[in-house]
Amino acid sequence: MVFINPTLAIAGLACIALPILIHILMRRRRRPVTFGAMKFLIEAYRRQRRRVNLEQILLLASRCLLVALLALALGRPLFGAKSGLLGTPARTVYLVIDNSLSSATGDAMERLRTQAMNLLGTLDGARGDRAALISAAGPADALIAPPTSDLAAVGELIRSLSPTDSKADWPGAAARIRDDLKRTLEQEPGAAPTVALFSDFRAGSADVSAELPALGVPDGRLTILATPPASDAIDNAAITQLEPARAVMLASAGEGVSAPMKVTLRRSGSVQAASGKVILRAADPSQDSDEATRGSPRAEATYTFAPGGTTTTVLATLDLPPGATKSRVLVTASIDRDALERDNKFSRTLDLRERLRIVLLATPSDRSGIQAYKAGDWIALALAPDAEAALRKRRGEQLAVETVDPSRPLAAATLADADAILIANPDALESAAWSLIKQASQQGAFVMVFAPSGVQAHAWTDEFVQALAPGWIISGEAKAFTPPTGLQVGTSPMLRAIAGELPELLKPVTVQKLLPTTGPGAETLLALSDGTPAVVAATRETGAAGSLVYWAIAPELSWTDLPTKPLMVPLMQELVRQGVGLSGTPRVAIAGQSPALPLGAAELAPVSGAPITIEPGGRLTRPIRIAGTYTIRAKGGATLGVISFNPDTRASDTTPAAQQPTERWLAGLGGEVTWVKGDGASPAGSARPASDESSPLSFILLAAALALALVELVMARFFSHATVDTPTERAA
Amino acid sequence: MTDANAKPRPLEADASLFLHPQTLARLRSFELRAKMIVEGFSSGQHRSPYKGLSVEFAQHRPYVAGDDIRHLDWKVFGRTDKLQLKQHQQETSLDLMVMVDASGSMLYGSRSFEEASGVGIKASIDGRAHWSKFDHATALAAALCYVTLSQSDRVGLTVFADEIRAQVRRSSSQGTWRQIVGALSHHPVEEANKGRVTNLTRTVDQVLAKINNRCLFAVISDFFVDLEDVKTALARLKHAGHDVVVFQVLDQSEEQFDFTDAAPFQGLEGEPTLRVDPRALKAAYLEIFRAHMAGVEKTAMGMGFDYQRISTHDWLGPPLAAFVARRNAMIKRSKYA
Repeated sequence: MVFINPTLAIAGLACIALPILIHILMRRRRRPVTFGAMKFLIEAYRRQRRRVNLEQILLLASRCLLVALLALALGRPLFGAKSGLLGTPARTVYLVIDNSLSSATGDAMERLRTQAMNLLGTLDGARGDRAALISAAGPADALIAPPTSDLAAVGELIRSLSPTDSKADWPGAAARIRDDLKRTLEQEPGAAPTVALFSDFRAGSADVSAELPALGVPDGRLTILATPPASDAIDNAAITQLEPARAVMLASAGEGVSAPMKVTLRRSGSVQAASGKVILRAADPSQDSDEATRGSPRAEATYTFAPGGTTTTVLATLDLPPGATKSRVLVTASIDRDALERDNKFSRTLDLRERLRIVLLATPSDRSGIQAYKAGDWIALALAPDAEAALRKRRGEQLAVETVDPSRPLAAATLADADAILIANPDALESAAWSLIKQASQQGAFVMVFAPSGVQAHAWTDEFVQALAPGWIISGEAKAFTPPTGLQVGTSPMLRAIAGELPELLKPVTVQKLLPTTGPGAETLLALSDGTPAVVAATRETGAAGSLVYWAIAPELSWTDLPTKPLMVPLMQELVRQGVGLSGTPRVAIAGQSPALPLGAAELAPVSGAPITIEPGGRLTRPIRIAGTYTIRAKGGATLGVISFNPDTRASDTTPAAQQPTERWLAGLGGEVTWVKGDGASPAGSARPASDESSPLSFILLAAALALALVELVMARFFSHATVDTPTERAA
Repeated sequence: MTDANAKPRPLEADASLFLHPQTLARLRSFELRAKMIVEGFSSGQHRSPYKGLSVEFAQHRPYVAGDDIRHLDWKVFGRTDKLQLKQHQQETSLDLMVMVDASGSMLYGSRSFEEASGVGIKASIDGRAHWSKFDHATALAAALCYVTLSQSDRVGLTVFADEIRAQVRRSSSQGTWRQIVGALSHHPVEEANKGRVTNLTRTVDQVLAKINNRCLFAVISDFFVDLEDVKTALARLKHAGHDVVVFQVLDQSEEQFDFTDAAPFQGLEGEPTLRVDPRALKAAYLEIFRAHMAGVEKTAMGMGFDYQRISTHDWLGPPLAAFVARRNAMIKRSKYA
């Protein structure tokens, strides 16, 4: 049995003490009566004691029972209801509100808030109802958990919720509820919780193809309330990516630089041909973006969606005048306003450098003739061709190559601020040198390793794999190709800047020898005609370490004629520039997701506001759900880089979801789904069953109390032994 | 029994009003009370039965050596020359022994002194605010003593509870009245005897030990003692040849038990406090109380004694008449026995 008004029931039951108190006080407070014939009164009492006591107990019991019946009737009991605290039907409701990017369309957020507030209004804290609040914006956050009966506080938080730039994290929200429910079910095994989800469930919010984790509530006691999926189609375009041709731009002092940028857009809703304008702006990342972009360099381009197409790219070149920028520039791409405004901007930083410092670990040669050129010589030549010497002198040396003999002990200072480390003779390196290279790679240096020529047994590969390429397998012996085989373009986008010319440049190149390799995370840049990887790259997703490129072919004439071909110079130049650009600190992150941060990063400082501390494991103390630019700082306050958090454009898909798949998807939580109609206050949307509002047992109890009151009156009259003398009796 | 419904008359118009408690309550001194009672009582008689009492001749007997020669009948000696002693039927003075119960229960009275007096006197001379059974008993005792003393008979008084608390030796002298009044007025019965339970047998034994001639005993008490004690005490008086008039003084509340409110009831003789609803116990109480009263009456009557039940709300006429009747009867028995 449970009570609709448990407070009244408890208070009423406590009132049972009243008749007992009155009984005691009536005995105590009367003035004593002196009586002469006490001897006979005591004798009478001895004879009547049992009867008198029984009468008093009966009267007291009936009065207590009367109060108890009234208390129970006021408590409005219900039979068969699910029990809660003190047997009350205390409802436990988990409110999950989708405040992700997809809720920023139109008045969706306001509508969801209102529906949640209406449902909250059907709860009654005084009756023991409790509510928890979970924001679904990734990562899902338990704003109030475990559930509280302070519903006003829950309401305040609901009203303060606003859309974020992250994607809805429904599995995360389910995990939060499951963890809390586990504790609740341990304390109250009979609890029947309700989970209410407020979302439009558009394609960008709910991925109905991925199953939701069950909440672990047994016996179908879980009630799932959900707002029905939005059915209206909304046209929305979003900038999903902003990629520079190179992440690191080389510009000499006093010279401007042109930064070609590729903007990727995706749309949802309409499939008709559409076009619009993309505006690129450059700004100082240390200033507020709106302020910084005013009067700054800008570029425009027009994007066009083909009929039926959902994605498009547009190229635009942002000309940065000399002196307009510092070492870093924040580039922001934006498109015109549409239904979902938050995903119309995308930012990232570009590094502007005067030169790159390249350390080339190569055995020195005498360069007596081209036939005597070693790999190191070819590499150095490709990075600094003599033909460009005059130009180099004028501009300043953009690629400063420092050749170091690998057979000599390597100093840590040599690699300390190297942008790229090119290892032409890895077989000559000591173990200590590999450790230093590994350290430099972890700090963001780009490493390119070439298979050495003239080695019978390649024993160096173990140390290389251990230091830089865990899991890779490199053959211990070179494979010879007779007749020589050709090269073809691989799958990696790293060479996209020269992708147009690459096939033509590859045609004259032949390969005689190759040191085969396979490994996880390896992307093929160039491959033999039979598909054997010849140049592979390992782009580190974590960003904590520099990129790695491995040449399975030694750039020597005994292995390949590549060094003498036109491809050599652009290939080497491009690999170094792209490699350095892909290394170092990450420049872009997605709101709601954990960013890849460099080692030693201690905090993320926004342009304005309190910095966010980074825990030793790389986890942020406070997830970033709103797009913005943050400076990555080391413990001492040194700037490690600038990272731009952009909206999670996976949430930009405004395609409406069908109701049935959504229902099946939500049912994965482990209960039957009831759609909240309209404003959420209708019976279907109420967290409390309509049957709770009436209690037929109350009337029965009231009737019983009335009957008992009559019995008590009769008993009180009879047990009082009061008589009324008639005039006749009085006369007698 | 009371004159509550009677037509009010001026106090001086009828001396019998002095027998009413409300009149007695107005009178501060015992002497005045007793005088008023007796005057009020005798004014209703046609003649006084207590006048002309004298020594009457009974017979002659021969003188034997050792007889007191003062009783020789010299006239017979002169005529017959024989020594004859003149014997008289000695009309012995009728000794009255009044025993007043001063136990704790006698302090009870449900009638306020102010209401009893009717003239605004709020308390008795000793400060009590109610007209108790002891007040009634002492008024009656004083009246009995006054009547007896006025006939030049000897009167003794014993005030008792668990034992004799005060005693006035039998005497007919003028000072006796003062002693009696003093014993009844100033006896510390109210405080000192609180909680003292009546021990009638013991008291009777103590009184009888000092009496060697027949007396008329007037025992004034509420007799809230065991019936066996009453029986034993009266039996010893009867065995000693005394006549007894039993006056049982009760309060109206004790007889009717008309309490209505539940309250703690406290006794006057050290009984435990009893928290009861009096209405629940009324029937049982009245049954026990009436059975006891009937038992006392039956015991007294069974031994040939007079029994008078007096309520503190009633006047003293009937008990006084009963006493006088009993006294006359006893005188007659003495004279013609």
